[in-house]
Parts: sequence; structure tokens; C-alpha cells
Amino acid sequence: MKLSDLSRARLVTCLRGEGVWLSLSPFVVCIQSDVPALADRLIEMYADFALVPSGAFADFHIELRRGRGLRRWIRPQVDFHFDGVPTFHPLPLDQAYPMLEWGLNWCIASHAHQYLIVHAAVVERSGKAVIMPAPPGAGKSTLCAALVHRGWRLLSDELALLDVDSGHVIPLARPINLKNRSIEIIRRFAPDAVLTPPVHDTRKGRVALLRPPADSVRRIDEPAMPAWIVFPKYQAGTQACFRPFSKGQTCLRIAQESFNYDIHGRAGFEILTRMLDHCDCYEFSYGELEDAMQAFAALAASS
Amino acid sequence: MTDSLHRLQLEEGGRFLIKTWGDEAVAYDLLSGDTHFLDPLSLAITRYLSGTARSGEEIADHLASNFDLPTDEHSLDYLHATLSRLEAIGLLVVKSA
Repeated sequence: MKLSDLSRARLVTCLRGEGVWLSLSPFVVCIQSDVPALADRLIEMYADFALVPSGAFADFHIELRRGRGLRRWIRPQVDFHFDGVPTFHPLPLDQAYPMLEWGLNWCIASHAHQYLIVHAAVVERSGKAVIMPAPPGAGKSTLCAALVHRGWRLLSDELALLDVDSGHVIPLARPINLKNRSIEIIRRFAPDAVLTPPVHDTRKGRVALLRPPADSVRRIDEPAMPAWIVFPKYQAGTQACFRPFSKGQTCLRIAQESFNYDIHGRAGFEILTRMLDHCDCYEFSYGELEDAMQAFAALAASS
Repeated sequence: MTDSLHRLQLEEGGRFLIKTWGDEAVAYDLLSGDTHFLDPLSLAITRYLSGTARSGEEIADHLASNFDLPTDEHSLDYLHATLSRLEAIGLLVVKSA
């Protein structure tokens, strides 16, 4: 059963009651909320995801609750609870859905230490994955959103999950977080893409989330082998260009972009260096998405 | 630069894991959990100092004759800084004569 099989009314009832048990493969998350608008966002973004019978094991129990007392009426707020415990400062009520996504990122990055987790987007074509680590503002999510609308499969927008035994990237094809100008850029680039209404004045500026392609969700159980590490950088006015990059420095940059490299210790170093043995590493600058798409198509064809 | 009585050698107590790709490498410190990048000069030094302690002069001479490292003041300063860094992270250790 998929989330889209539930009526909105039923979804709202589930959120208010026992929760919605959503399979993000490899995680199950139980979401409860008394914020009705959250149901609309879940329908838009997670329609293709499978539901798990309520009461099954869930990796993360998340609640988004409207503020109590005056905060219910005056500048209303929403609270994020993880396993029943308030976890973050409350946010304005209209930020409930972005808060769910950010909070879920935190849950995974802070707890899923069975994986080496890197702050990176990952896309795949013909069984080969491109891992794109980047700091905020580098254009990683914009590039990722464009690629998944040009035949690349989405494995992740934010969190690359590396299996410590096989070295595969485990898919986590959740919605893509777009910020500020990227929202209009992707609307123009992919007019059929489904985006949430933008939320203004968040700590990341204006944000909207992009629904993951149905095919990426359908193949959410198919891991992929990393073949390329690409550090993207948006630079207005530049031509799309891949420049080979040092494996040693790539190793350090990935370690820096990892949430739990230090926790894995020696095993983390070995996973990372083993992966780099089989990957080509590049810095990638681009100024126009169409150029970038051609450059990535050429990259895929070169292998 | 180390003098002739102060000789440097690669740490060989099993503290580091070194992974090499071509002329560069990374070193993982099992003691601290830190990972360090070894550029071609650093890697050449660690290779030269594997199993044998050498003075600063010997290291400079070896690099000059084998890797075309210039012997001007700027290059020697860079070599000095590199040796200091490798010593600071524990990859090179001082052996007294």
C-alpha cells in the first residue's frame, strides 16, 4: 500500500492518531502530527512511498505538534519531538514541513551509524553512482534536481549512505530541498516537476521541496556502486567543466563532509579509501544547467 | 631543519595507516583518529625515511637529486615546514645520534 492510497481525511486522522508509518527504505519512520497542512505536503512529496502497517518497527518516531497556550493563536509555532522528546527550538507553524525534513535528516545523521554518512547528493545511471559532496550554496541540490529530471536516478539529495561492507550507496530518495533562486530555476528547467509551495523566511531563506521521481522511489531498494566523486560549484557565467581532482584531497574533503567518519574510526578510513580506489574524482563548475546536463551525459558515456 | 645530530625517521610503531595513490597519499592516525593528506613532497620524504633515520641535510640532498627540488631558500623553507608538519602529526620521529 502506498501513501497515495490513503484519502486526505484518512491521512489526517492517522497523523493525529497512531501515526503514518512510512517506508523510506532502509528506514521506517512513524510520523504523528496535529498540523493539517502537513498531510497536504506528505501527499505531494511521498505519494509513491510504501506504507508499513502501524505498530511495526520504526527506526524513528517523529511528532510535529502545534505550540500550546498562546502559541497556538499568536504567531503559532510547531514543535519537533523525536521519540517523544522535544528536540529543536520551535519554528513558525508554516515551517512544519521543512522542519520535518530537516529533523529527519538529523535523526538519520545522528543515529544511523551502520552507514558511513556523507553530506552529499547522489545520482545514478547504468548502475554507477555519482557522489556530490558540497557545502551549502555550492549548487548541489539544484544540480541534483536537474539531473533526476534528465534520466539520472535519485539516490539522495542530502545524505549519502555508504554500506560499510559492500561499499554500495544505499538509496534514500527523499524530496530535494531547493532554496531561494533554485526554486524558480528548477521550475523553468522542469515545468512538470512537483514542488511544495515555497516557505519564506526560514533559517535557510526561502525553501521548497521537490518530489522525487516515481522511478527513483520504485527502485528504492536498488543500491549502486560509486564510480565518480564530483565536487560541484555553481559559478555564474562559467562553462560546465570537469577538472580531475586529487584522490588524497578528495578523501579529506569527504571525511570533513561526513557526519560519522570519526565514529567509524579505522573502518571509516578503510571504507573511504577502498571506495576511492574505484572512483574518478573531479571538481565541477557550471553556470548553466543545460551545459551541466551535457557534461554529465558525456561523463556517463565515457565509462 | 634538523641538524646532523637530530635525525628523522618514519614512525614505524604501527600508529599510522597509509594509503597511496600515485605520488600522493593519506595517513590515518590510529591514535587520534585524524586523517592527513600527504602531498608528493611529504610522500617522498616518508618513503625516504622508512627504516632509516636521516638528517635534514641528507633529506634535502636526496630530494634535490631525485626530485629536482630546487635548493633556493624558499624551497628549503617549504621543506622545513613540511618536515615540521610531519613531525608535529607524529608521522616522523626524532632519533638522536
